[in-house]
Order: sequence, then structure tokens, then C-alpha cells
Amino acid sequence: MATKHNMPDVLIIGAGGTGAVMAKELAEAGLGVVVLEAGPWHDPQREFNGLEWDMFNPFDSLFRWGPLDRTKAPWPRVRDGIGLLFQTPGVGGNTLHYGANHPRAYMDSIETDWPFRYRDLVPYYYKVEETLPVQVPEIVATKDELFIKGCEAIGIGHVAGPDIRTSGWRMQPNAILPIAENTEPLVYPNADGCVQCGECIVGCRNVEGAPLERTAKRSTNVSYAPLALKTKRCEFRTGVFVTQIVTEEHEGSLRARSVQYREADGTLKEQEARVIIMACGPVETPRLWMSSGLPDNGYVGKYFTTHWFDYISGVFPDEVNMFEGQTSMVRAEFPGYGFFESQGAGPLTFALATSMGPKAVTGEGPWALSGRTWGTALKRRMEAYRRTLMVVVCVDDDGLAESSVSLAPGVADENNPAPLVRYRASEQTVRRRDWLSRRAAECLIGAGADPNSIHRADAPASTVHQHGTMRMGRDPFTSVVDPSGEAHAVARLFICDTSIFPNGIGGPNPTLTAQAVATMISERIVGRYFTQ
Amino acid sequence: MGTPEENALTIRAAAEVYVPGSPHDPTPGAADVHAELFISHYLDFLIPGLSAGLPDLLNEMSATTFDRRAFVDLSLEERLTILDQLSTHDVEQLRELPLVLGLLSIASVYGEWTGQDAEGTLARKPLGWQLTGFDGPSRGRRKLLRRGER
Repeated sequence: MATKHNMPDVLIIGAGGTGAVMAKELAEAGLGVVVLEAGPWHDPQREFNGLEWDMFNPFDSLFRWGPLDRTKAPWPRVRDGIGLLFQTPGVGGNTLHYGANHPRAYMDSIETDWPFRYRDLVPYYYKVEETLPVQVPEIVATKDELFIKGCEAIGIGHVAGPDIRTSGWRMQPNAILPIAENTEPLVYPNADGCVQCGECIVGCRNVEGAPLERTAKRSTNVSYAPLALKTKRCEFRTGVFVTQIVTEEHEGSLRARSVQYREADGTLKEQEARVIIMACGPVETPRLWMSSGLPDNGYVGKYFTTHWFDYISGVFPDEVNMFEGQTSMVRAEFPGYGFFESQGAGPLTFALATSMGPKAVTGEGPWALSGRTWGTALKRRMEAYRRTLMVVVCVDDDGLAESSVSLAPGVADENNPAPLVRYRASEQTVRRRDWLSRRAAECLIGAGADPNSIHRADAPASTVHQHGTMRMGRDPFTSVVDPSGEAHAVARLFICDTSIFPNGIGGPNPTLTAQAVATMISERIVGRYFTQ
Repeated sequence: MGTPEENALTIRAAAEVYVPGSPHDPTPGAADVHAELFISHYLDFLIPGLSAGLPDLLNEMSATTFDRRAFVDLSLEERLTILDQLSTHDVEQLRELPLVLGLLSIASVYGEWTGQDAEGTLARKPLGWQLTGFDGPSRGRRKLLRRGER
């Protein structure tokens, strides 16, 4: 890698959904880039097996958040008001097991709280959508056909186009290659693209025999990261954990100088760079900030949002086979509330999603069953698995100051104090979630599900979607980074992951917006620090 | 302190609450697949010794609530009462154990564990796939692919 002064121009912490995007954009702009990533760079063909427990259980799976050695316990996390924490080490990060749904943000959510206009994001949306690429599927599965039928039956009309300001159902914009042709054998290069295996959230490994760059689901380990490498100006160091941001005084203020990191064998190293970018996500970014003793204006770690999911399911007379096809191929948007979408899942994922709610559900609605399903209720539910459709609800939740990430007293792993993740929902968030859950239940009944089978999980909050904690804004007293992603308090230190979102973008899946913002910030970094 | 065998039976009795099998339900469940092996492994993976400590706690709570009866001697409803008590225990760190037990019990039946051999290779159809009709991981769903143009 060619860099002046024997150090990279840019050092990126984290090679997940945004870090890999910035690596590609900055390296293509001619900068020398080093990316430090806690996990490995997986080979999907060799390491992914489609088995739910082995791939993403929270204890010792390939995607669990912990040391590279899977015989060692996961890194401890302290949770308050939140269920499972989804954090995935490895190049690709959480995109390794996401559903690859790439909608744009609700337009009004950007206009109200962000320090720039929606239209400013649009060119970057297009660039990401073309690079991955993002497209709607041309063949949908039974689960998605039923979802459309249910929407139409209850008066939810069809809407099209990438910009979202009005309610309606729409085809799912997925970061998945076009659907493959039915060839014999179904092996690359004879076949190329998505084979509708239904394993998006377990980790995509298809088409069988495909090179990394032709893996169907466009996690950043198969899309942006290979493009970054192609420039020959980018180096990925995997299996290393950054423990400190090192700063220095410069002309009366702080600026970032280097990072300290721990290699897998415990060796501590330091790496200087002209610009440092934190792309570790809304839990690890504030944790690293606080562990490094960086300045806190009272907004570091605050206003965590999660879209507080819920899962509504119903049983149909005929087979649905929710495990077939891309995880979700249709969705219904409701700006001001959030959205819901068809949701495929293997039996274990469905069993857990539907069974781990509270003893007593809150909110009235057209469901016959609600809350936790344990015992014989779960057995009967699972016997109807092939005839069941699940709908996932994602809420436009309010960011509250008490929803936060801080350092847990007395709990640590080998890297730093453990994070304490706290989530509280506003009354408005609860009302929106109830409203969406009712509409989702009506959609299932409209599609033909047995009304006596409708179940609302009332699932605990999780971090499948996570945003906030290091908000972006113009005011250095009420935000952590400026509109270009640079920390108000530390020069040459940028943050570029969903932690800088000033809100939950109205409810939609955050990855596309995060990647568009990463593309925009990359451009601004070049303009601010690397233009002669 | 229970013996290892007694501890295993206590964990199995807890797993039955989440996924009952014979004689509580007509189809096989957690006890039928010896879910206690799976659950104990992960309890000790998280906190060494937990697979012994948790049965002690469940038996202690059971004896207090149900006239000195052991947890394994309770009905499924009574065991659920104990697990619900545990979820509101005075010691905050213990409150999540019923959810952890639930997650592991459900995973033992509906995950792939019952189909794996000692090396972890999938050697047969797991019980959960048999109970649900799931046909397992796929390298392609042909009926959902584009029609061949060649």
C-alpha cells in the first residue's frame, strides 16, 4: 500500500455495513486505507452451512459476538429493557445475516431531524443502489403473494418508486443479485444470481460454487470490501480489536492521532493515520469513545433507537412455506408509524420469534393469541409451521435520552469495560407499534389466515436495527458529530455508522441510508483533508 | 447439592415446560431428545458450574413454594410457576435464566442439534424438522427461479 510518512491516510475501525463502503470510496479516491476488523473475513462457500443454530446462536455460532475462538465464551453485554443484542464480527458485520432489504428512509424523517435535506442524500442513494446492486425481485414466493393479497383486501394500495412519502405496499428493494435461471446443474457459472434458498438471515452462500463477488446477497464482504481491495490501496487487518483512540493537543484543541488495538494472540499494537473513522455501530462506537476517555458533552451514548420489532403470524389452510424465497420480497409502508413486511424464517428462528414475548401482552387487537407461547401451545404452533405466514413489524420509535449505551460498572471483556445497553420506549412508540401490529393482523386475516390462529408475539426489543447514540447535528452542544461526520470535539476523528442517525429514519431498514451517508461522508473527508 | 444425574433430571424437567413431549404431549419434546445435555453444555459455557447451581436453585424455590417437593416432582404448571418466580427474583442476574432456559430448550428441539453426530456433522433429519416439515437448507428452490432460456 502506497502511503506517505509510512502511515495510511485513513484508518477505519470496523468492516461492516458502512466501514467497507468507506474503504472502497476512499481507496478509489486515491487514499491509502487500513481497515481494522474484530472478526474474520469468512468464505461463505466453505464456512456457511444454512444451519440456524450453528450460524447465529448468541453463544458459540459463527456470527456470535465474541473471540475468534468459538470455544471461548461470548463477550459479555449488560442489557436493560432489551432482549438479544445483534452484533456480528467479521468483514460484512451485521450485513452477514441481514435480510438485505434496502429501502430508502422516509423522506419526512430526514427533513425533520437531519442536518441536511433528503434531496442531498438522493445521489448517494443511487450510487449505492447501483454498486450493490439493489432491485426488486421479479418472482415472489407464496408468503409474499399472500402478503400482497392481505394488503389489497384491507385497502392498502400499491405504491412504486424508491422515495417514500405515502402509505402503501411495495415490492421489496433487496440488495440481492437477480434471480437465477433454473439450470441443470444449479451451480456457478451454469447458474448465477439468487436461487431463492430462503437463507438470507443465516448467511448467503449461493449460487453453489460462485466466487465471493458473485454471492447473491450483497453483504459488504462480497460487494464493497472486494471492490476496496481491487484498488490495491486498501488493507484489511482481521481478527484485531481496537481498544483506544489516541488523541493529541493541536493548536488548542484535540485531534485524533492513532489507535491502539489487540491482535488475536493478545499482542498490543498502535497504528497512526491522518484521519480515523469509527464504524463500529451504535453499541461499540460509544463504548470505544468512552473507553478512550474522549470528551462527553452529555450526548455521547444517548438516544438509542431500535425500531422495536414485533412478530405477527397466522395459519392458512394451505402451505405457505415461509422458508422459501428471499427472506422478504414485499413490504407495507406507513410514514408516521413505520412498516411491516413478509418475513421468512427457518423453524428455529420462527419458534424463537414467536415464543419469547411476555406473559401478558399489551394492546388490544384482532389476535386470538398473544405473548409467549411455551409448552403445548408452541408444539401446536410449530406443527402448523408450513402453513404459517409471519409478518415483522418495525416501528418508527422515538429516541429517548434514557435509551442509551454506557460503560457497565464492574463488567469487562479482554478489550474494554462492557457496554450497558438500555432501551425505553415512549408512549408514542408503544401506540405506533400497537397500530402497526393491528394492521399486520388484519392483513393476515385479509389474506385468508384463520382468525383464531392470529398470534402477536409482543417481542422484547432487540438490536436487529440500531441507530443513535452518537447523533449528527450542527450544534456541538446537542450532537456528537457535525454534518460531515467529524466529531465536534476531536478533529480528524469521524464516525460513520448508524450511531450518527439523528432518528430511526421513520422505521425502514437502515442499511441503505447508512451506506448512502457513508458515501457522502467519504466525499467530504476527501474534500476536507485530502484536496490540495 | 444434587448429583450430576439429579441435576440433569432437573434441567430436563425445566426443558419440558417449554417443549413438552411424552407423557405430557402426543409428539416428542425436549425430554425425549435428552435436551439436558444440550442445555447443560451451554449453561456451563456461559458460566462454569451453572448447570449444577441452577438445579439447586430450582429445587430450593420448589421446596419453599410447594411443601418441600423437588422440582422434578412438580406438574408442568407448577414448574412454570417456579420459572416465573425466578424471572422476578431479588437477584437481578438470575432473572434472565428462564429466558435462557427457554431459548436453549426450544433450540434443542427445533434447531439442528438432534440431527448432528458427535463431530457436529448433520447425519440425519433433526427432530424439529420432522415435527415441522422443514426440508432443511437448500442450494436452490427451482420453482421460484427464472425459466431457462437455453
